[in-house]
Amino acid sequence: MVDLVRINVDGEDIEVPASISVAAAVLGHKHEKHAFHHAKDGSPRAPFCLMGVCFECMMEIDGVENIQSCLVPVRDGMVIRRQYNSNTNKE
Amino acid sequence: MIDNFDLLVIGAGPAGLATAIAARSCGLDVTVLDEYATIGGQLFRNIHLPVISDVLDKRTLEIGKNLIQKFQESKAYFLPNATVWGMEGNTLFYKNLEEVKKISASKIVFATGGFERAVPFKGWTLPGVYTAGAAEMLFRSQGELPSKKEPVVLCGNGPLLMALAVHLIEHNIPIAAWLDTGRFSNKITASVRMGRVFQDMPYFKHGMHLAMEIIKARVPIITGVTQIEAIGDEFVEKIRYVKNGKEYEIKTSVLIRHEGIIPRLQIANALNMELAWDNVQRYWYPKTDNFGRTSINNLFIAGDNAFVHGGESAIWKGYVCGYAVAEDLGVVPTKEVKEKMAYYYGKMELLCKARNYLRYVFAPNPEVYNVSDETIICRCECVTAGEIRQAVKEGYSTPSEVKIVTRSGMGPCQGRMCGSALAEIIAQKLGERVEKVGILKHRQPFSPITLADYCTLHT
Amino acid sequence: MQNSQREYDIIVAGGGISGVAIAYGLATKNKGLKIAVLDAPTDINRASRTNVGLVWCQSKFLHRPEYAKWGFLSRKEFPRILDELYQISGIKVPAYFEGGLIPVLSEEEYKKRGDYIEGLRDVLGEYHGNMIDRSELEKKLPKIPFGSEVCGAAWCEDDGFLNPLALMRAYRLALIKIGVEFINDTVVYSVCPEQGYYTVQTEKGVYICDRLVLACGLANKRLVQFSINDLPIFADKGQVLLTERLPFVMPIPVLGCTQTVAGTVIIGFKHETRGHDATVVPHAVAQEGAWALRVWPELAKKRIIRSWPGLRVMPNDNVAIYSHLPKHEKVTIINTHSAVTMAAAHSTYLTDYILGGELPEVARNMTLKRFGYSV
Repeated sequence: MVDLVRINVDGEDIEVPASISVAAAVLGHKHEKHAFHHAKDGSPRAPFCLMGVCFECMMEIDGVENIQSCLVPVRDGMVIRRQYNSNTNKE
Repeated sequence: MIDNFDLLVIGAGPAGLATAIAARSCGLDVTVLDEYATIGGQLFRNIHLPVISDVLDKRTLEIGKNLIQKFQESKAYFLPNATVWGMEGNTLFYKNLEEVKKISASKIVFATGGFERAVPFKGWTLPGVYTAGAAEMLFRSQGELPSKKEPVVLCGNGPLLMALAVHLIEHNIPIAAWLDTGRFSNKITASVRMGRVFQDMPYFKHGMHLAMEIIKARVPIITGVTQIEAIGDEFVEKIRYVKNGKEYEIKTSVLIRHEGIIPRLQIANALNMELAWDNVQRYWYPKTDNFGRTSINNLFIAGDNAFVHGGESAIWKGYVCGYAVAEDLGVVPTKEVKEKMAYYYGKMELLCKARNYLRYVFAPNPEVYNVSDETIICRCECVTAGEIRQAVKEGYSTPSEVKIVTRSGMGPCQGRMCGSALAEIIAQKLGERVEKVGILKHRQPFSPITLADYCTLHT
Repeated sequence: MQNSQREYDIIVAGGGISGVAIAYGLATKNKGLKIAVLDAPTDINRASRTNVGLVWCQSKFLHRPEYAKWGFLSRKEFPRILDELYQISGIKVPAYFEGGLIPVLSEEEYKKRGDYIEGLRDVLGEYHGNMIDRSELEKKLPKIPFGSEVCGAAWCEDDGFLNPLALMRAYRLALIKIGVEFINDTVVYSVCPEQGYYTVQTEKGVYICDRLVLACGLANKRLVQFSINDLPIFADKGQVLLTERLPFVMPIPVLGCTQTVAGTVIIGFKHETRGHDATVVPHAVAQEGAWALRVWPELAKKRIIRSWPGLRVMPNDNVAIYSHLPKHEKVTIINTHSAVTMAAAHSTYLTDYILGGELPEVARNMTLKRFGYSV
């Protein structure tokens, strides 16, 4: 059987398989597919490559902003916040 | 604590692990760093978990488990969650979960693998569009895709897409269509080299098996597709494409796009290593000798980030590289190394030759870069193809020059995503060859690092 | 002499900010002239591409008041030049002319800066700035929570900043629109004086001109050797760090950690003398990072996405060089480390001198004469 850990995503507790990445956990279980709206044009964005290249999976993890969530495995008790409205800065 | 290791290996994927195993077998002090928490890389990470062993074929699973076991037995140090972000001389700076650390070694092997070539198309920033690698990773994490059981659309060209298709079929995830972007002419050029694949029978059989599965599942394969577009408001709702001048639409919430794997070049590029261009697979790669020695003393590259031949070849390349490091350090007499290495070297050569066939079959079609002006090329800075073409019209003729006037490549990913497309689009507009147009310059930090962490170097 | 495509009245060698600014002045004031600008390929060391974009008057220089005046004069011309560029090129260069600040971190620094400003006020007779205390600083930049050590700043209302890459693009596009030929991606190998004209050997072949402007930065040292063999300039190395995008909070630039109009922050002000070595040395640039953290602690959590080096083109006495070469009055060299600040002056006041007239009064002593050459 797969080990599960409990994480909190945007205020909601969910159980996900241990050792998967935060990005995968959020994408797979929330089914809303967003990570954030782009600061420049406001377009919706979501994790795209899941291998540390695209920087479209940045989330706040345990209080630290702009973490590439595809590179961080879930840990029990982790608090994750998606950055819907961060750094809006239209030129 | 060791002040200076014999060898640091960056990346704990197939090539990195094999390099460490070989170097340890020669008695070297070896440390392996990886930005992820566990070893194995994209291919073998977490293969002990049921969700992954379900997905992987038996042969790959066996190779992976064997490699990981050998690495563990080798007693090389492994530093997990270690993101290497800077370098001065033979000292690397990395960040783990807690702090910034420095580590030095006489020789450094970069085994950072490949990543998927990002090919822009209209709507590719919409949630619901993934690379094949991302889909594979999601699948391995959860055993399913975010679409649940709705039909998905695959689009592109490359062996990874075939493997993914079979995983989907085996798990009853319906495939609405496979939109092929390859060129028929590639298959003809490739057939000349077909004979070589039989030198690597297990792999060939595996490939045939994949192809058979896809045919058996009656996946609708649509060839000659151009002008792919993802359409939707907040998510992908449908996709549109053109074939023979006619427009078609398919309803789907997941579009998986793939155009092959290219070497991860950021570090090699930032360190000013000599690079070369492969006109078949259309990517830059660092020039190395057959053992992974680069144009810079004491720095080696092993695996797909030297040239993409796939995970299994990367293992042999790693072994060969590990011995070469020992030889260069004078730890093992050249003669002894040569004998030990002969077998591995033979294996590596054979596999690379066999894989060369795939290099031609799955050669990317440069026409995929012929995107409409409103297509976003740089995802980070929202720069469109039209803005890039405008800059070219004004006389800016290299990626670096176009970058400074358009901001394409200036965002957090530093051109990892847009770099290939930027050069291709400039080349198209100028009617010039891509290798003449050049490459975006990368610089340290190799990975973003907070200012506070950066400044720990000062105190 | 005008029958071949490769013959020009004037060639400006160097397509950086100084080169295009001068070419713009020449082309707009003398509509009949046939002018070409030669620009180097990307991989050549080019200071204009590494610039922060400050239009900076307040700290240059107490010991050379005419240089300070020259800066203020340029600042005055900027709005007009940017407006003209917009009219011609269609590119609106993002620019803020709302002053500039140098933060100080101790009472001692505060006093030292203050003395400097009062000195400047004395020699110039007029100076629009003064020391401000912390509360005034907070009023000027209310969205930046300054570090606890920041006790005030030097303030000058004549400073500002702009996007230097956009400025270069606007100049370049304007030049092309008004008929200047822009020849890019070519290295200038050498200059040969002939009977009454000059040949310029380049990667793309030979060009011929009546008059020549050398605006090739450090490469001027190599190119002037047909006349003098030791141009008194040197490479002054700087290194900077670039952060990810932040909300825009700095309409008044802070020297040393300046936010760009795109929202990123450029950190660094180091001056190093290391010849042409232009490698990034992380531990060295981290020193400036540590200073920036004391000024603006919020940056601690922001990520550095790039670092780059730059080689300022520094005349030995830190003042600009605008000069004909000995025995070559049809060749003008320009060398300055303040190419952005002085761009508007370069576009406005150097044309006459290049065409055989005089330098403006304020810049009259900026020729090579001060280094002992007879020009």
